[in-house]
Amino acid sequence: MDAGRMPSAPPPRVWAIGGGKGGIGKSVIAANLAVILAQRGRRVVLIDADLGGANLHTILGVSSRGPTLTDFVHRRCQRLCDIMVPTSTAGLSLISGSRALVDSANPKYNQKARLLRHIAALPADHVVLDLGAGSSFNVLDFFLAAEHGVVVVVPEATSVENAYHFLKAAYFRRMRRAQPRDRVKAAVAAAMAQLQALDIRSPKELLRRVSETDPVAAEGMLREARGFDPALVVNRVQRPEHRQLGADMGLACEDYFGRRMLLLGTIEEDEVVGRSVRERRPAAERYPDSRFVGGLQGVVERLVGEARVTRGA
Amino acid sequence: MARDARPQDWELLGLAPGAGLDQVRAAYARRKDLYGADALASYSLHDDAEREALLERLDDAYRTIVGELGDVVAVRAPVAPAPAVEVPPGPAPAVDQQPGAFLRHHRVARQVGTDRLAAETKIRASMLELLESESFHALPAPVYVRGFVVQCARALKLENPEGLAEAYVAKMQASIGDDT
Repeated sequence: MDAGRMPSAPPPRVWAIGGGKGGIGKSVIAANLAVILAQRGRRVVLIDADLGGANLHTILGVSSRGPTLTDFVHRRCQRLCDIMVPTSTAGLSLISGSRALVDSANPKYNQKARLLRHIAALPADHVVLDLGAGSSFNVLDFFLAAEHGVVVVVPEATSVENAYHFLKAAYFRRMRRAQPRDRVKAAVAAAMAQLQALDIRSPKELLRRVSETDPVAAEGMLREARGFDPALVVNRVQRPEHRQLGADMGLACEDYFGRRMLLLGTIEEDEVVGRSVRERRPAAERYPDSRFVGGLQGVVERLVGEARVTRGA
Repeated sequence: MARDARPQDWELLGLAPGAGLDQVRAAYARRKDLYGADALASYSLHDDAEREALLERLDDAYRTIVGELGDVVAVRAPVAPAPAVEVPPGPAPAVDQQPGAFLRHHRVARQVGTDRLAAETKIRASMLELLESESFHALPAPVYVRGFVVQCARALKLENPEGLAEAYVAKMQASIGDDT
Protein backbone atom coordinates (compact mmCIF):
# COMPACT_ATOMS: atom_id res chain seq x y z
CA MET A 1 0.00 0.00 0.00
CA ASP A 2 2.92 2.31 0.47
CA ALA A 3 2.82 3.42 -3.15
CA GLY A 4 -0.83 4.31 -2.79
CA ARG A 5 -2.85 1.78 -4.72
CA MET A 6 -5.14 -1.12 -4.03
CA PRO A 7 -3.19 -4.36 -3.82
CA SER A 8 -5.68 -6.10 -6.10
CA ALA A 9 -5.17 -3.80 -9.10
CA PRO A 10 -3.07 -5.39 -11.85
CA PRO A 11 0.36 -3.84 -12.35
CA PRO A 12 0.77 -1.44 -15.28
CA ARG A 13 2.29 -2.60 -18.55
CA VAL A 14 5.75 -1.12 -18.73
CA TRP A 15 7.36 -0.25 -22.04
CA ALA A 16 10.91 1.07 -22.14
CA ILE A 17 12.11 3.08 -25.09
CA GLY A 18 15.87 2.94 -25.70
CA GLY A 19 18.28 2.46 -28.53
CA GLY A 20 21.76 3.46 -27.58
CA LYS A 21 22.09 6.63 -29.59
CA GLY A 22 21.05 10.17 -28.76
CA GLY A 23 19.27 12.41 -31.25
CA ILE A 24 17.24 9.73 -33.01
CA GLY A 25 13.82 10.87 -31.84
CA LYS A 26 13.57 8.45 -28.92
CA SER A 27 12.11 10.96 -26.47
CA VAL A 28 9.66 12.38 -29.00
CA ILE A 29 8.48 8.85 -29.74
CA ALA A 30 8.15 7.97 -26.04
CA ALA A 31 6.17 11.16 -25.35
CA ASN A 32 3.81 10.72 -28.27
CA LEU A 33 3.25 7.01 -27.61
CA ALA A 34 2.17 8.00 -24.09
CA VAL A 35 -0.12 10.74 -25.44
CA ILE A 36 -1.73 8.35 -27.93
CA LEU A 37 -2.35 5.72 -25.23
CA ALA A 38 -3.96 8.39 -23.02
CA GLN A 39 -6.08 9.62 -25.94
CA ARG A 40 -7.38 6.04 -26.19
CA GLY A 41 -8.65 6.28 -22.63
CA ARG A 42 -5.79 4.58 -20.79
CA ARG A 43 -4.23 5.92 -17.59
CA VAL A 44 -0.64 6.54 -18.54
CA VAL A 45 2.47 7.61 -16.66
CA LEU A 46 5.43 8.76 -18.70
CA ILE A 47 8.74 8.57 -16.86
CA ASP A 48 11.79 10.48 -17.98
CA ALA A 49 14.45 7.94 -17.04
CA ASP A 50 17.00 9.72 -19.21
CA LEU A 51 18.85 10.53 -16.02
CA GLY A 52 21.19 13.36 -16.84
CA GLY A 53 19.59 14.35 -20.16
CA ALA A 54 15.92 14.72 -19.35
CA ASN A 55 13.74 16.79 -21.64
CA LEU A 56 10.28 15.27 -21.79
CA HIS A 57 8.89 18.27 -19.93
CA THR A 58 9.94 20.42 -22.87
CA ILE A 59 8.34 18.13 -25.44
CA LEU A 60 5.08 18.09 -23.47
CA GLY A 61 5.15 21.75 -22.52
CA VAL A 62 5.18 21.07 -18.77
CA SER A 63 6.91 23.41 -16.32
CA SER A 64 10.43 22.31 -15.46
CA ARG A 65 10.01 23.29 -11.82
CA GLY A 66 8.90 20.86 -9.15
CA PRO A 67 10.22 17.55 -7.87
CA THR A 68 11.91 15.08 -10.19
CA LEU A 69 13.04 11.49 -10.20
CA THR A 70 16.20 12.66 -8.41
CA ASP A 71 14.11 13.62 -5.38
CA PHE A 72 12.64 10.14 -5.32
CA VAL A 73 15.97 8.39 -5.79
CA HIS A 74 17.45 10.40 -2.91
CA ARG A 75 14.34 9.83 -0.80
CA ARG A 76 13.36 13.47 -0.55
CA CYS A 77 10.01 12.19 -1.83
CA GLN A 78 8.76 8.87 -0.55
CA ARG A 79 6.27 7.94 -3.25
CA LEU A 80 6.46 8.11 -7.03
CA CYS A 81 2.91 9.44 -7.25
CA ASP A 82 4.00 12.48 -5.23
CA ILE A 83 6.22 13.60 -8.11
CA MET A 84 3.72 12.89 -10.92
CA VAL A 85 2.53 16.07 -12.62
CA PRO A 86 -0.50 16.31 -14.90
CA THR A 87 -0.03 17.19 -18.56
CA SER A 88 -2.29 18.88 -21.10
CA THR A 89 -3.43 15.40 -22.19
CA ALA A 90 -6.19 13.97 -19.99
CA GLY A 91 -5.07 10.73 -18.36
CA LEU A 92 -1.36 11.34 -18.92
CA SER A 93 0.98 12.21 -16.05
CA LEU A 94 4.68 12.93 -16.26
CA ILE A 95 7.49 12.09 -13.90
CA SER A 96 10.35 14.37 -14.82
CA GLY A 97 13.96 13.26 -14.86
CA SER A 98 16.80 15.03 -13.18
CA ARG A 99 18.17 18.06 -14.90
CA ALA A 100 21.33 18.88 -13.04
CA LEU A 101 22.67 16.38 -10.55
CA VAL A 102 25.23 14.24 -12.27
CA ASP A 103 25.41 11.65 -9.49
CA SER A 104 21.77 10.71 -9.94
CA ALA A 105 22.57 9.43 -13.41
CA ASN A 106 23.97 6.33 -11.72
CA PRO A 107 21.54 5.09 -9.09
CA LYS A 108 22.79 2.28 -6.90
CA TYR A 109 21.40 -1.20 -7.14
CA ASN A 110 18.94 -0.81 -4.27
CA GLN A 111 17.79 2.57 -5.54
CA LYS A 112 17.05 0.98 -8.88
CA ALA A 113 15.20 -1.91 -7.29
CA ARG A 114 13.09 0.51 -5.24
CA LEU A 115 12.28 2.54 -8.34
CA LEU A 116 11.20 -0.57 -10.27
CA ARG A 117 9.07 -1.68 -7.33
CA HIS A 118 7.30 1.66 -7.19
CA ILE A 119 6.80 1.72 -10.96
CA ALA A 120 5.05 -1.64 -10.74
CA ALA A 121 2.72 -0.13 -8.14
CA LEU A 122 1.79 3.04 -10.02
CA PRO A 123 -1.94 3.62 -10.46
CA ALA A 124 -1.79 3.35 -14.25
CA ASP A 125 -2.61 1.05 -17.16
CA HIS A 126 0.62 1.85 -18.97
CA VAL A 127 3.99 3.18 -17.95
CA VAL A 128 6.26 4.47 -20.70
CA LEU A 129 9.92 4.77 -19.72
CA ASP A 130 12.14 7.02 -21.79
CA LEU A 131 15.66 5.66 -21.32
CA GLY A 132 18.88 7.57 -21.77
CA ALA A 133 21.40 7.07 -24.53
CA GLY A 134 24.21 4.58 -24.11
CA SER A 135 24.32 0.99 -22.91
CA SER A 136 25.15 1.46 -19.23
CA PHE A 137 23.89 -1.14 -16.77
CA ASN A 138 21.27 1.28 -15.51
CA VAL A 139 19.77 1.75 -18.93
CA LEU A 140 19.96 -1.99 -19.63
CA ASP A 141 18.30 -2.95 -16.36
CA PHE A 142 15.32 -0.70 -17.01
CA PHE A 143 15.16 -1.98 -20.58
CA LEU A 144 15.15 -5.61 -19.42
CA ALA A 145 12.64 -4.98 -16.63
CA ALA A 146 10.03 -3.75 -19.11
CA GLU A 147 7.42 -6.00 -20.70
CA HIS A 148 8.76 -4.83 -24.03
CA GLY A 149 12.04 -3.04 -24.52
CA VAL A 150 11.66 -0.92 -27.63
CA VAL A 151 14.76 -0.01 -29.61
CA VAL A 152 14.56 3.06 -31.82
CA VAL A 153 16.87 3.24 -34.80
CA VAL A 154 17.28 5.64 -37.74
CA PRO A 155 18.68 4.61 -41.15
CA GLU A 156 22.25 5.65 -40.43
CA ALA A 157 25.28 3.44 -39.82
CA THR A 158 26.00 5.09 -36.45
CA SER A 159 22.49 4.41 -35.19
CA VAL A 160 22.45 0.80 -36.43
CA GLU A 161 25.83 0.28 -34.78
CA ASN A 162 24.63 1.62 -31.45
CA ALA A 163 21.43 -0.40 -31.65
CA TYR A 164 23.34 -3.67 -32.12
CA HIS A 165 25.78 -2.75 -29.38
CA PHE A 166 22.81 -2.06 -27.13
CA LEU A 167 21.01 -5.29 -28.04
CA LYS A 168 24.12 -7.40 -27.47
CA ALA A 169 24.77 -5.73 -24.12
CA ALA A 170 21.16 -6.29 -23.06
CA TYR A 171 21.25 -9.93 -24.21
CA PHE A 172 24.41 -10.74 -22.29
CA ARG A 173 23.24 -8.86 -19.22
CA ARG A 174 20.11 -10.97 -19.26
CA MET A 175 22.10 -14.18 -19.79
CA ARG A 176 24.10 -13.54 -16.64
CA ARG A 177 21.00 -14.46 -14.66
CA ALA A 178 20.81 -17.94 -16.20
CA GLN A 179 20.59 -20.72 -13.62
CA PRO A 180 22.14 -22.97 -12.43
CA ARG A 181 24.85 -20.37 -12.58
CA ASP A 182 27.89 -22.61 -12.09
CA ARG A 183 26.89 -25.08 -14.75
CA VAL A 184 26.03 -22.33 -17.23
CA LYS A 185 29.37 -20.69 -16.57
CA ALA A 186 31.28 -23.93 -17.04
CA ALA A 187 29.40 -24.94 -20.18
CA VAL A 188 29.83 -21.52 -21.79
CA ALA A 189 33.52 -21.40 -20.87
CA ALA A 190 34.05 -24.85 -22.39
CA ALA A 191 32.37 -23.84 -25.64
CA MET A 192 34.18 -20.50 -25.78
CA ALA A 193 37.53 -22.24 -25.40
CA GLN A 194 36.90 -23.93 -28.74
CA LEU A 195 35.17 -21.05 -30.47
CA GLN A 196 37.18 -21.41 -33.66
CA ALA A 197 37.21 -25.18 -33.81
CA LEU A 198 33.47 -25.40 -33.22
CA ASP A 199 32.71 -22.57 -35.62
CA ILE A 200 30.59 -20.67 -33.10
CA ARG A 201 29.77 -17.20 -34.42
CA SER A 202 26.70 -16.10 -32.55
CA PRO A 203 24.79 -16.53 -29.28
CA LYS A 204 22.38 -18.76 -31.18
CA GLU A 205 25.19 -21.14 -32.11
CA LEU A 206 26.64 -20.97 -28.62
CA LEU A 207 23.31 -22.06 -27.21
CA ARG A 208 23.08 -24.91 -29.69
CA ARG A 209 26.55 -26.09 -28.67
CA VAL A 210 25.73 -25.94 -24.95
CA SER A 211 22.54 -27.88 -25.56
CA GLU A 212 24.70 -30.69 -26.94
CA THR A 213 27.07 -30.76 -23.96
CA ASP A 214 24.93 -29.75 -20.97
CA PRO A 215 21.15 -29.77 -21.48
CA VAL A 216 20.52 -28.46 -17.95
CA ALA A 217 22.67 -25.39 -18.49
CA ALA A 218 21.12 -24.94 -21.93
CA GLU A 219 17.63 -25.04 -20.43
CA GLY A 220 18.55 -22.27 -18.00
CA MET A 221 20.01 -20.19 -20.82
CA LEU A 222 17.00 -20.81 -23.01
CA ARG A 223 14.71 -19.57 -20.26
CA GLU A 224 16.55 -16.26 -20.22
CA ALA A 225 16.77 -16.12 -24.01
CA ARG A 226 13.00 -16.45 -24.21
CA GLY A 227 12.65 -13.44 -21.95
CA PHE A 228 14.80 -11.42 -24.34
CA ASP A 229 12.03 -9.86 -26.31
CA PRO A 230 13.08 -6.59 -27.88
CA ALA A 231 10.93 -4.67 -30.32
CA LEU A 232 12.05 -2.24 -33.02
CA VAL A 233 10.88 1.10 -34.37
CA VAL A 234 12.62 2.56 -37.42
CA ASN A 235 12.36 6.33 -37.31
CA ARG A 236 13.01 9.15 -39.79
CA VAL A 237 12.87 7.10 -42.97
CA GLN A 238 13.25 9.15 -46.14
CA ARG A 239 14.45 6.83 -48.88
CA PRO A 240 12.38 3.93 -50.25
CA GLU A 241 15.19 1.41 -49.80
CA HIS A 242 15.19 2.12 -46.06
CA ARG A 243 11.63 0.90 -45.65
CA GLN A 244 13.10 -2.60 -45.60
CA LEU A 245 15.54 -1.76 -42.79
CA GLY A 246 13.32 -2.91 -39.92
CA ALA A 247 12.51 -6.25 -41.51
CA ASP A 248 16.17 -6.79 -42.43
CA MET A 249 17.41 -5.95 -38.93
CA GLY A 250 14.77 -8.28 -37.54
CA LEU A 251 16.08 -11.09 -39.71
CA ALA A 252 19.69 -10.37 -38.74
CA CYS A 253 18.73 -10.48 -35.05
CA GLU A 254 16.87 -13.73 -35.52
CA ASP A 255 19.91 -15.26 -37.21
CA TYR A 256 22.20 -13.93 -34.51
CA PHE A 257 20.32 -14.25 -31.23
CA GLY A 258 17.87 -16.92 -32.31
CA ARG A 259 15.06 -14.66 -31.12
CA ARG A 260 12.42 -13.01 -33.24
CA MET A 261 12.42 -9.24 -32.92
CA LEU A 262 9.02 -7.61 -33.14
CA LEU A 263 8.94 -4.85 -35.77
CA LEU A 264 6.57 -2.23 -34.42
CA GLY A 265 6.72 0.19 -37.30
CA THR A 266 8.61 2.28 -39.79
CA ILE A 267 8.03 6.00 -39.39
CA GLU A 268 8.75 8.45 -42.14
CA GLU A 269 10.62 11.68 -41.70
CA ASP A 270 8.07 14.36 -40.95
CA GLU A 271 8.68 18.04 -40.41
CA VAL A 272 5.82 18.28 -37.91
CA VAL A 273 8.08 16.64 -35.34
CA GLY A 274 10.51 19.54 -35.21
CA ARG A 275 7.65 22.00 -35.34
CA SER A 276 5.80 20.38 -32.45
CA VAL A 277 8.94 20.40 -30.29
CA ARG A 278 9.43 24.10 -31.02
CA GLU A 279 5.81 24.69 -30.09
CA ARG A 280 6.20 22.57 -26.97
CA ARG A 281 3.07 20.64 -27.73
CA PRO A 282 3.07 16.91 -28.48
CA ALA A 283 2.56 16.13 -32.17
CA ALA A 284 -0.13 13.59 -31.29
CA GLU A 285 -2.26 16.49 -30.02
CA ARG A 286 -1.23 19.23 -32.38
CA TYR A 287 -0.92 17.22 -35.63
CA PRO A 288 -3.00 14.06 -35.18
CA ASP A 289 -3.33 13.60 -38.95
CA SER A 290 0.38 13.80 -39.70
CA ARG A 291 2.35 10.87 -41.10
CA PHE A 292 4.42 10.78 -37.92
CA VAL A 293 1.42 10.37 -35.63
CA GLY A 294 -0.22 7.95 -38.07
CA GLY A 295 2.90 5.79 -37.95
CA LEU A 296 2.92 5.88 -34.15
CA GLN A 297 -0.75 4.85 -34.02
CA GLY A 298 0.31 1.67 -35.81
CA VAL A 299 3.13 1.17 -33.30
CA VAL A 300 0.70 1.48 -30.40
CA GLU A 301 -1.69 -0.99 -31.98
CA ARG A 302 1.05 -3.54 -32.48
CA LEU A 303 2.34 -3.06 -28.92
CA VAL A 304 -1.09 -3.35 -27.34
CA GLY A 305 -1.96 -6.32 -29.56
CA GLU A 306 1.29 -8.06 -28.69
CA ALA A 307 0.76 -7.41 -24.98
CA ARG A 308 -2.68 -8.97 -25.24
CA VAL A 309 -1.24 -12.07 -26.89
CA THR A 310 1.66 -12.57 -24.50
CA ARG A 311 -0.38 -11.91 -21.38
CA GLY A 312 -3.48 -13.76 -22.56
CA ALA A 313 -5.64 -10.78 -21.56
CA MET B 1 32.68 -33.84 -53.22
CA ALA B 2 29.15 -33.11 -52.19
CA ARG B 3 28.31 -33.83 -48.57
CA ASP B 4 24.86 -34.34 -47.07
CA ALA B 5 22.97 -31.30 -45.81
CA ARG B 6 23.06 -30.98 -42.01
CA PRO B 7 20.50 -29.34 -39.73
CA GLN B 8 22.95 -26.43 -39.35
CA ASP B 9 22.79 -25.76 -43.08
CA TRP B 10 19.04 -25.29 -42.92
CA GLU B 11 19.38 -23.25 -39.75
CA LEU B 12 21.81 -20.88 -41.45
CA LEU B 13 19.14 -20.15 -44.03
CA GLY B 14 16.53 -19.81 -41.31
CA LEU B 15 14.51 -22.69 -42.74
CA ALA B 16 13.14 -25.95 -41.47
CA PRO B 17 14.66 -28.99 -43.21
CA GLY B 18 12.52 -29.92 -46.17
CA ALA B 19 11.64 -26.41 -47.33
CA GLY B 20 11.15 -26.05 -51.08
CA LEU B 21 13.67 -24.88 -53.64
CA ASP B 22 12.01 -21.49 -54.06
CA GLN B 23 12.14 -20.84 -50.32
CA VAL B 24 15.77 -21.91 -50.21
CA ARG B 25 16.63 -19.57 -53.08
CA ALA B 26 14.76 -16.66 -51.53
CA ALA B 27 16.27 -17.21 -48.07
CA TYR B 28 19.77 -17.44 -49.52
CA ALA B 29 19.41 -14.38 -51.74
CA ARG B 30 18.03 -12.32 -48.89
CA ARG B 31 20.94 -13.23 -46.61
CA LYS B 32 23.59 -12.67 -49.26
CA ASP B 33 22.26 -9.16 -49.44
CA LEU B 34 21.74 -8.72 -45.71
CA TYR B 35 25.32 -9.70 -44.86
CA GLY B 36 27.01 -7.96 -47.78
CA ALA B 37 29.86 -5.59 -47.00
CA ASP B 38 27.78 -2.48 -47.65
CA ALA B 39 24.55 -3.59 -45.99
CA LEU B 40 23.22 -1.07 -43.51
CA ALA B 41 20.89 -3.51 -41.77
CA SER B 42 23.68 -5.74 -40.46
CA TYR B 43 26.28 -3.02 -39.99
CA SER B 44 28.62 -3.82 -37.07
CA LEU B 45 26.67 -6.91 -35.98
CA HIS B 46 29.70 -8.99 -37.04
CA ASP B 47 33.29 -7.96 -37.54
CA ASP B 48 34.71 -8.34 -41.06
CA ALA B 49 36.23 -11.77 -40.47
CA GLU B 50 33.02 -13.09 -38.94
CA ARG B 51 30.97 -11.66 -41.75
CA GLU B 52 33.12 -13.25 -44.43
CA ALA B 53 33.05 -16.57 -42.64
CA LEU B 54 29.29 -16.32 -42.38
CA LEU B 55 28.96 -15.63 -46.11
CA GLU B 56 31.20 -18.59 -46.90
CA ARG B 57 29.14 -20.87 -44.71
CA LEU B 58 25.97 -19.56 -46.34
CA ASP B 59 27.35 -20.36 -49.79
CA ASP B 60 28.37 -23.80 -48.63
CA ALA B 61 25.01 -24.52 -47.01
CA TYR B 62 23.17 -23.25 -50.06
CA ARG B 63 25.21 -25.32 -52.51
CA THR B 64 24.74 -28.41 -50.40
CA ILE B 65 21.00 -28.00 -50.01
CA VAL B 66 20.39 -27.03 -53.62
CA GLY B 67 22.53 -29.97 -54.70
CA GLU B 68 20.30 -32.32 -52.73
CA LEU B 69 17.06 -30.63 -53.70
CA GLY B 70 18.20 -30.42 -57.29
CA ASP B 71 18.59 -34.21 -57.35
CA VAL B 72 15.18 -34.72 -55.80
CA VAL B 73 13.54 -32.23 -58.12
CA ALA B 74 15.34 -33.69 -61.11
CA VAL B 75 13.92 -37.11 -60.35
CA ARG B 76 10.43 -35.75 -59.87
CA ALA B 77 10.33 -33.12 -62.59
CA PRO B 78 13.32 -32.86 -64.89
CA VAL B 79 12.50 -29.29 -65.98
CA ALA B 80 13.26 -27.35 -62.75
CA PRO B 81 16.77 -25.85 -62.90
CA ALA B 82 18.79 -24.87 -59.83
CA PRO B 83 20.17 -21.32 -60.02
CA ALA B 84 23.74 -22.42 -59.45
CA VAL B 85 23.63 -24.42 -62.67
CA GLU B 86 21.47 -22.21 -64.81
CA VAL B 87 20.83 -24.34 -67.84
CA PRO B 88 19.56 -23.08 -71.18
CA PRO B 89 15.81 -23.04 -70.71
CA GLY B 90 13.12 -24.95 -72.56
CA PRO B 91 9.96 -23.23 -73.75
CA ALA B 92 9.04 -20.02 -71.90
CA PRO B 93 6.41 -20.36 -69.16
CA ALA B 94 3.07 -18.61 -69.76
CA VAL B 95 3.15 -14.95 -68.77
CA ASP B 96 -0.13 -14.93 -66.90
CA GLN B 97 0.42 -18.22 -65.10
CA GLN B 98 4.07 -17.93 -64.09
CA PRO B 99 5.15 -14.33 -64.61
CA GLY B 100 8.12 -14.79 -62.24
CA ALA B 101 9.35 -17.88 -64.06
CA PHE B 102 8.76 -16.04 -67.33
CA LEU B 103 11.13 -13.29 -66.18
CA ARG B 104 13.74 -15.80 -65.04
CA HIS B 105 13.45 -17.71 -68.28
CA HIS B 106 14.22 -14.67 -70.39
CA ARG B 107 16.97 -13.48 -68.09
CA VAL B 108 18.69 -16.86 -68.23
CA ALA B 109 18.11 -17.13 -71.98
CA ARG B 110 19.95 -13.83 -72.40
CA GLN B 111 22.69 -15.09 -70.06
CA VAL B 112 22.22 -12.20 -67.68
CA GLY B 113 23.05 -12.98 -64.03
CA THR B 114 20.94 -11.46 -61.25
CA ASP B 115 24.00 -9.42 -60.25
CA ARG B 116 24.17 -7.80 -63.67
CA LEU B 117 20.45 -7.22 -63.81
CA ALA B 118 20.66 -5.73 -60.31
CA ALA B 119 23.39 -3.36 -61.45
CA GLU B 120 21.34 -2.29 -64.46
CA THR B 121 18.01 -1.85 -62.75
CA LYS B 122 19.28 -0.73 -59.31
CA ILE B 123 17.03 -3.39 -57.83
CA ARG B 124 18.79 -5.57 -55.27
CA ALA B 125 19.71 -9.07 -56.41
CA SER B 126 17.81 -10.55 -53.47
CA MET B 127 14.72 -8.64 -54.55
CA LEU B 128 15.11 -10.03 -58.07
CA GLU B 129 15.26 -13.55 -56.63
CA LEU B 130 12.06 -12.88 -54.71
CA LEU B 131 10.42 -11.51 -57.85
CA GLU B 132 11.40 -14.49 -59.96
CA SER B 133 10.42 -17.05 -57.34
CA GLU B 134 7.09 -15.22 -56.85
CA SER B 135 7.68 -14.97 -53.11
CA PHE B 136 4.73 -12.63 -52.88
CA HIS B 137 4.62 -12.35 -49.12
CA ALA B 138 8.24 -11.29 -48.94
CA LEU B 139 7.86 -8.63 -51.61
CA PRO B 140 6.97 -4.99 -50.93
CA ALA B 141 3.58 -3.50 -51.84
CA PRO B 142 2.25 -4.19 -55.37
CA VAL B 143 2.81 -0.57 -56.36
CA TYR B 144 6.59 -1.09 -55.98
CA VAL B 145 6.52 -4.54 -57.49
CA ARG B 146 4.83 -3.21 -60.62
CA GLY B 147 7.74 -0.80 -61.10
CA PHE B 148 10.32 -3.52 -60.49
CA VAL B 149 8.80 -5.78 -63.12
CA VAL B 150 8.64 -2.98 -65.69
CA GLN B 151 12.29 -2.11 -65.06
CA CYS B 152 13.42 -5.72 -65.36
CA ALA B 153 11.42 -6.27 -68.53
CA ARG B 154 12.88 -3.12 -70.09
CA ALA B 155 16.42 -4.05 -69.10
CA LEU B 156 15.90 -7.48 -70.69
CA LYS B 157 14.30 -5.81 -73.74
CA LEU B 158 11.12 -7.87 -73.43
CA GLU B 159 8.02 -6.95 -75.34
CA ASN B 160 5.25 -5.17 -73.49
CA PRO B 161 6.82 -4.58 -70.05
CA GLU B 162 3.58 -3.02 -68.78
CA GLY B 163 1.56 -6.07 -69.74
CA LEU B 164 3.99 -8.32 -67.90
CA ALA B 165 3.80 -6.06 -64.83
CA GLU B 166 -0.01 -6.21 -64.99
CA ALA B 167 0.03 -10.00 -65.14
CA TYR B 168 2.53 -10.17 -62.29
CA VAL B 169 0.62 -7.86 -59.98
CA ALA B 170 -2.67 -9.56 -60.83
CA LYS B 171 -1.27 -12.93 -59.76
CA MET B 172 0.33 -11.39 -56.69
CA GLN B 173 -2.92 -9.79 -55.57
CA ALA B 174 -4.92 -12.92 -56.20
CA SER B 175 -2.37 -14.86 -54.17
CA ILE B 176 -2.15 -12.57 -51.13
CA GLY B 177 -5.80 -11.57 -51.25
CA ASP B 178 -5.01 -7.89 -51.35
CA ASP B 179 -6.48 -5.46 -53.82
CA THR B 180 -4.57 -2.32 -52.84
